[in-house]
Amino acid sequence: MNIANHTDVGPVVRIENLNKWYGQTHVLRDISLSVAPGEKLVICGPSGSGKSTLIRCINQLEQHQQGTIEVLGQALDGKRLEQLRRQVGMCFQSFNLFPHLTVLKNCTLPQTANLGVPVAEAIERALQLLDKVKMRDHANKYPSQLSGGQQQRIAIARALCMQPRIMLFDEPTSALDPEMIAEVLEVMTGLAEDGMTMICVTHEMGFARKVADRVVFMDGGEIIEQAPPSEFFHSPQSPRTQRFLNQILNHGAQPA
Amino acid sequence: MNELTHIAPARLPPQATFAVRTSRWVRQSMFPSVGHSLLTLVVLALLAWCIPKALNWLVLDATFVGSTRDACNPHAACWLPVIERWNLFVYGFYPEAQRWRVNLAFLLAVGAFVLLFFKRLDRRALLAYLVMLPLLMWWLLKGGAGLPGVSSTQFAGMTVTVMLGTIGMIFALPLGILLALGRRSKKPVIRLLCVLYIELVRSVPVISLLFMASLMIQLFLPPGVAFDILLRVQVVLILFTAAYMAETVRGGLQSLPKGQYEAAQALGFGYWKTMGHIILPQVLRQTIPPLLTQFIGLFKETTLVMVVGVLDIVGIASSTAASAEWAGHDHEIYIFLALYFFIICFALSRYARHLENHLEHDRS
Ligand SMILES: Nc1ncnc2c1ncn2[C@@H]1O[C@H](COP(=O)(O)OP(=O)(O)OP(=O)(O)O)[C@@H](O)[C@H]1O
Ligand SMILES: [Mg+2]
Repeated sequence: MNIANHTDVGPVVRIENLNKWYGQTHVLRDISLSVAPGEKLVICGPSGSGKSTLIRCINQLEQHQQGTIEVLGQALDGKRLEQLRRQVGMCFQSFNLFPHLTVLKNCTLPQTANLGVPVAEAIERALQLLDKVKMRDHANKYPSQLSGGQQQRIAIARALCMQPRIMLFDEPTSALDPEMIAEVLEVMTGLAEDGMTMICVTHEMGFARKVADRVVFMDGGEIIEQAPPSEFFHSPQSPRTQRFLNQILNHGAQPA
Repeated sequence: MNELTHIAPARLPPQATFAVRTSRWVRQSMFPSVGHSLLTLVVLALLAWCIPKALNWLVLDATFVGSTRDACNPHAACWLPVIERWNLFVYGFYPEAQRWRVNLAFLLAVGAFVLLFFKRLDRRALLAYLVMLPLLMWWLLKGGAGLPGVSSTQFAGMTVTVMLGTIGMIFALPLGILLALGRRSKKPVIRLLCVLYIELVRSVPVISLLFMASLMIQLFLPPGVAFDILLRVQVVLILFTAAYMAETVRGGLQSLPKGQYEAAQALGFGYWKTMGHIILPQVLRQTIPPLLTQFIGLFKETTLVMVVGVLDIVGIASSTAASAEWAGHDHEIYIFLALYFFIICFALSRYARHLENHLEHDRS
């Protein structure tokens, strides 16, 4: 397919005037955003501001009603969704590993079933990526036998097995205990260093400072402000951003 | 040695002798309180009174050899009607020279259960066997394509029960799954059709569906075209059971977390692959117990075909009990019938337990 050729030229994700409603509720308002290849974007904002909805629109787990989304140079028109999703990896807050399959099978099945990769090759790739997230020793266990942090690292490896061009993260650490957050963030930092294009919804501001090229602040379904982390954290422009940053930086807790 | 690193050696749990364990069990489970002890004594007395009686009547004083009713002991069971008519009970009016076909069909049906027991069997081979089984059974029993045909009127007894039950099970489950998926489909037409079908079938007693199949279908068919009666009741049983299974499977589909569907979608699984690889394996695991209950129900419902003139094993039993030759021996005949269904249904339910444990074990 010609998706690959386009990316080297333009942005990997280009969103223009995106609007989305749930019934009567207007949850995304005139969002415009574009992400360059290799860019790391952190999206933050109070609960209910539409962060999840926005990144779920990018791989069309949610459909939008207005505006255009282009991913890897292709406008999303509701067709060929499977092809699109195979190039866009996603990690969820609740891991969503397949409980009836072993860790290894979780990582190989998507490759064999959706990409037609031969089994031996799929296993090799899976083991390589499990090694990268330090979970190779657990390859034959079932997800229920593992801790949350371990499961999330496997979920990342599973997504990477599809060799995606973009990775989406929706609060990957917010269901985890503090000591497990670090191990997942470490994996994500490693991924960023490898040059993956990443869009992360997270409240881990340490991660944002260290890894992000740009931080996007959302509130009430709108993008209020976007800036490189140094600027974003030191001189936030909007009073809403200031209030949000005060809340999470001073209290260390996630905004309610 | 350093005190801090010293680890106490592992000890075995305390062992009690058999006698101690038994007496403890008797005390704890049979005589834990006054009321309980009384109940135990009453039950024991009842058992002591009726077991010898039953044993005498059923087995010890019962008649097993002989050929006419004159050989029967009038004060105990007489199993001669069952023994004398055994072939009728099993094969019905199937031509004697062709009975090997019935035997082979029975064996094939039992084979399916045996194969399912083996854990590491290739899943595709198993599936192929299950797909072939009903076709093979039908061909073996009914004939055609090389085998001499056997008319449906010659079918009776266990042959009918086992054939209707086995073929019904194999077709009803996939159809039920499709209906359940259809009922949750995003396409309104498909959803509406499935809802209509499921609700209609579930709100009509199976007996009236059987009557419809035996009487009404003929009205819609052009004159001269006949639909085999066995085929008709088979289809009704499948369609009926499938509607119930659809509801069971739908419950399972609904109880699965949304995240499973989303994760599959996000990894690029299409609809059928999501269902086949991710959703249904989990749902079927959960729904094995209710599904097997429905299989057992189907097996017992096969007896209803009697009302449309197909002589299943119950039909043979009734006609035996009503025959001049064996009149007055209905007790024995119906006890035998009960035993027959009990054995098969109990085996099915044990089998379900086994599968369940097996899958539990697989998972953790
Ligand atoms: N399936 C849905 N149906 C109706 N409303 C929804 C649905 N999902 C989300 N919403 C609403 O859309 C808005 C945005 O939700 P979203 O989940 O995107 O917020 P969020 O920024 O991710 O919040 P959080 O930090 O709590 O995850 C909220 O007001 C929410 O109530
Ligand atoms: Mg969210």
